[in-house]
Amino acid sequence: MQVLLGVAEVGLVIAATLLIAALFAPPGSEMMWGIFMLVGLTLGRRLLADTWFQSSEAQGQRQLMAYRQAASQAVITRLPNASSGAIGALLIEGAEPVAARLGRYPALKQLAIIQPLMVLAAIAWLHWPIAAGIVVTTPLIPLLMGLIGLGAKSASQKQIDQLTRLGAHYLNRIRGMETLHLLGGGGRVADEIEAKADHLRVATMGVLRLAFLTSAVLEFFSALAIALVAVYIGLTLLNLIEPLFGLSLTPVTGLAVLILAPEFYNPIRRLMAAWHDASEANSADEKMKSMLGTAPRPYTPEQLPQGLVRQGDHAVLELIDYQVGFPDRAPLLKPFHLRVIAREPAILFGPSGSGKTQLLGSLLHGQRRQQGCLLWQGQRSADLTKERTQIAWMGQQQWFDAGTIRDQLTAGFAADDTACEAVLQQVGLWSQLGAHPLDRALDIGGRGLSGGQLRRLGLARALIRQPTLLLLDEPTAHLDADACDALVHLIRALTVPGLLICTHDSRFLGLGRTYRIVDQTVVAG
Amino acid sequence: MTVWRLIQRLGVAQWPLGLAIILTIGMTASALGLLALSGWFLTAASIAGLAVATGAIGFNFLIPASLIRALAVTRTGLRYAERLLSHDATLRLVVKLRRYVFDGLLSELREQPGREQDALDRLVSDATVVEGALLRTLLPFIGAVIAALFTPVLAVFLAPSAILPTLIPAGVLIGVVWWRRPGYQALAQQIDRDARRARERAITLADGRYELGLLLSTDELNALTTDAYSGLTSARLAKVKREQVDRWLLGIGQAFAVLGLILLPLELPFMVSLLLALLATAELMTPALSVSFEAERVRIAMQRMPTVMPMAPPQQHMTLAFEALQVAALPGQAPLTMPITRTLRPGDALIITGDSGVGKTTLLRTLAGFLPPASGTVVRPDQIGLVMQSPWLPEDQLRQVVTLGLPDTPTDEAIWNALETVELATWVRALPQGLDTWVGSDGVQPSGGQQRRLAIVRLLLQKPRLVLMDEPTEGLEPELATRIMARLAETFDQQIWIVVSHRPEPYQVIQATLPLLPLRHNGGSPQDLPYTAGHDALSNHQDL
Repeated sequence: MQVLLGVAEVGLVIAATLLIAALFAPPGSEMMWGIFMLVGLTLGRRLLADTWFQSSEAQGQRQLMAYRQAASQAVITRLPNASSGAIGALLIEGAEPVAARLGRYPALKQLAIIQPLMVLAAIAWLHWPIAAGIVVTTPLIPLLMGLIGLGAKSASQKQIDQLTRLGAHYLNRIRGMETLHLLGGGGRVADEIEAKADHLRVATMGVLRLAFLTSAVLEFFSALAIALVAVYIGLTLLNLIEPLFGLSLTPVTGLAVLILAPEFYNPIRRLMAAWHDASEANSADEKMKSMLGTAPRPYTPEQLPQGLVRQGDHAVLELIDYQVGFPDRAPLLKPFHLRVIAREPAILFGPSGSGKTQLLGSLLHGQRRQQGCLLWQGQRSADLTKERTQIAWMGQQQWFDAGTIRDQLTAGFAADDTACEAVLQQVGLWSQLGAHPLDRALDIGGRGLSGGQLRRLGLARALIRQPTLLLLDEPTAHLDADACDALVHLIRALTVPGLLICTHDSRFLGLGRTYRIVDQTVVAG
Repeated sequence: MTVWRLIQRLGVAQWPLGLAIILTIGMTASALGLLALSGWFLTAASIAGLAVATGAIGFNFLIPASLIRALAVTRTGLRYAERLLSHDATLRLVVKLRRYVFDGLLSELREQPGREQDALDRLVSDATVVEGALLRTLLPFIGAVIAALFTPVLAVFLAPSAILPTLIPAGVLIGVVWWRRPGYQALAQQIDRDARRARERAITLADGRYELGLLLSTDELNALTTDAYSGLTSARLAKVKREQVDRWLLGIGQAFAVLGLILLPLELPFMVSLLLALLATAELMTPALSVSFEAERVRIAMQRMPTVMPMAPPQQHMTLAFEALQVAALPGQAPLTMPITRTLRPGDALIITGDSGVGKTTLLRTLAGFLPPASGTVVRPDQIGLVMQSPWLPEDQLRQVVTLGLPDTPTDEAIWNALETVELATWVRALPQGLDTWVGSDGVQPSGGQQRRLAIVRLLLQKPRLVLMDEPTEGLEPELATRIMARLAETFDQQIWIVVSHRPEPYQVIQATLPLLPLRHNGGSPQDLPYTAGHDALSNHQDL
């Protein structure tokens, strides 16, 4: 559609030019009508160009939104290690050129071939030696652009790198603003803020310098080519030289050719301007992909070792020859067996950093699993994506959006106030939340409740889903001793069918079947 | 504050900007001159050419032809120089501006919902809006003004009778900008709001990545991300649509100008010249259409610019005194705790005890001045050191982790001494690069207990007058906790030292205790409570 508009636009330009030429041929009485038509054609061109521009803008904005959505979802499903500040900078500032990349760039790419060819055809029809001359000068343009393009790619990659670093740095420092305020020496911190901004400036200028150079070079070339055409026409008209190949060149054709010549270069110039946006968009996309890590390997269920599948006695979850680690790296956890049996909690006990969180992640998203089998209630399963509604999780970093306690409990899950009250009672939070517990508002991150209370709220949020399997990742981390004791007591009393606790807190030992992590090996008992 | 005042205040070199403006004027003028000259030249040449063809006197082709080429090359060169200069100057301005905003944020710190988000927005995007004020508004606007005036001025010289029609586009432009101003201002506000929200959502969703994947189904995830970005997208689409209408209006104005020119009896070369000038300026005038939009964005951003640069003058209090103090987790919320009263002098130490969730952390934040008291008063010394239960540490090298933000950089010796005090020196020596080891998401990740001890190291290097600690030895072995507390007690002989804890046992070096009790919700409003309820409870400890 946009390509058609572009084609029509150049059609109008050529028609207008030929009309101009015709007008000057015999200065007669129809000239007025000709000028009216000329004005009509020119305005028509403007209208088409505007429509074209706006529709590609709109398309670009829609595509940008789809891109951001997909990227946000990928962050949630693929759990990159990157800081939220870097992700935010990449998704907001970094992704901005995606609008041009997916909006006008594809159409411009086609038009950069079609439009010049149309113009060239018109010039060739008027006076073909000039068209031939223009064709001879064009190979220089892609050559130069190619050279500049090599630099442009690395420049835009540097810019994206600096942008994500700045995003991560600024968010980290802003989160510490209270502390920094008290420490009283903001000067050095502000120096850093300035230095990071300056690194981004240098990287951005690197990109811009090339972009400006590209357009200057193109402009220079088109000016040069047009000048040559003008000199040739001028000298011919003054009878100083003969037209080539014995063709005739009237002032009228000369004029038309002169008006058309710049139109040959304009589409290429527009493409190059968008091409820089496209290059930045590609760099942002590459950065996004490298942050997200390699795609999870397609899982091919190995032959199950004979005798391991017991009929009837199905564990809620069973891991067989399971190995956890980052792709193409040494395993964090060597192959092990683990069973979560109904009504008997499994405790995975090991120091922090030993791979417990990665194991839980591998169950949920299939990432970080290097090999092994996973059985869900006796059935082989690639990961637990399908069973997601039957699983609940409480991580060590509690995430809460801004909203009331009711909003927190019912995020992604429909529950009435009675159910909300019941779970809050169960975790002992109901009486601590004031007169209207469900309407109590929390800020982002749960600000407004203590650490222990937030942990209980997280547990309530997990329990309200009545999960078949509850995964707890370091449930007592960052809590004071009383809150820990209370939480252990609470977890001991839970009656979920399957419970897997990853912890380094010895208070959980003896709560169920224990697996210890010793030197990357999981040992039962 | 205007952008120009801000630029002066930031002390950025102003001449590159001024030069960029002059270059913009030169570039626009040469671009337009090129066009008008070409038009005149082409027409004159064709007439002369006809004459040449019929054997009449020749027309000197070469002078105007070379003039056109000279103008074209000048335009190319000027544009390149102008773009480099103006972008570099504005980007330098943004660098200074970010620092200015950060200084301001640090000095005007106050608790409010979404404060972090707000700060990030001001630091990242408001600075960019000011950049846009110059690059996307001022320079194109100058170009548009020149473009709007160019054809009428040309008409004065070529054909004074044609002035009226050539003024039409400028008139339409002014009219459109004026009449459509409120809509653009509303759009600017909407885009400002939605862009802030999009950033907030992008970061919040990234923060919650571990939970969200489990909490939400694919459909719900879709709905959540749609909600995050759809506001910004629809606002931008509305702007695109609005601009299209404006461009058409301007186009119609230009059509009328052209018609007027044609209908006037003018000499052909002049008419063609003016026609070409009109058509060429059409493109240059369009950026001015969105001037009210950009101006409103700048106004919004400038409103948020911090106005007070210096930190508040230090208070001269040596004592910490709170009277009938009640605290609430967020400003404006109802009090959570019974009133407490106490005065502490340098050398005094106090444990404030309370059950989990009663509001101990909130009390510390109130004493530190981040939260206003829900009721009662606090008088505090300047120079406060705070160790929270999960303290903030910068993601940086270890040396920076314990020194970043201190007014003076401590010596390595001082750092090692402080590390010895909390018995972390051995741990640091074992790290691959010692004090240069990177701490954070891509490096060493200290445990919760180690984080608190690192925060204590920072506090020891800071040497504040008032020390506030939230369960500082939680998660440590009892013997280690006792040793550290004993050393701290020796160190803090001239400081006011407050520790909040759910139990006083690990802190036996501190004698005085003060219980923090929850406010009961049995009907009585806070005002009905006996004023001295807290006061009585601690009268035993009054003589510290």
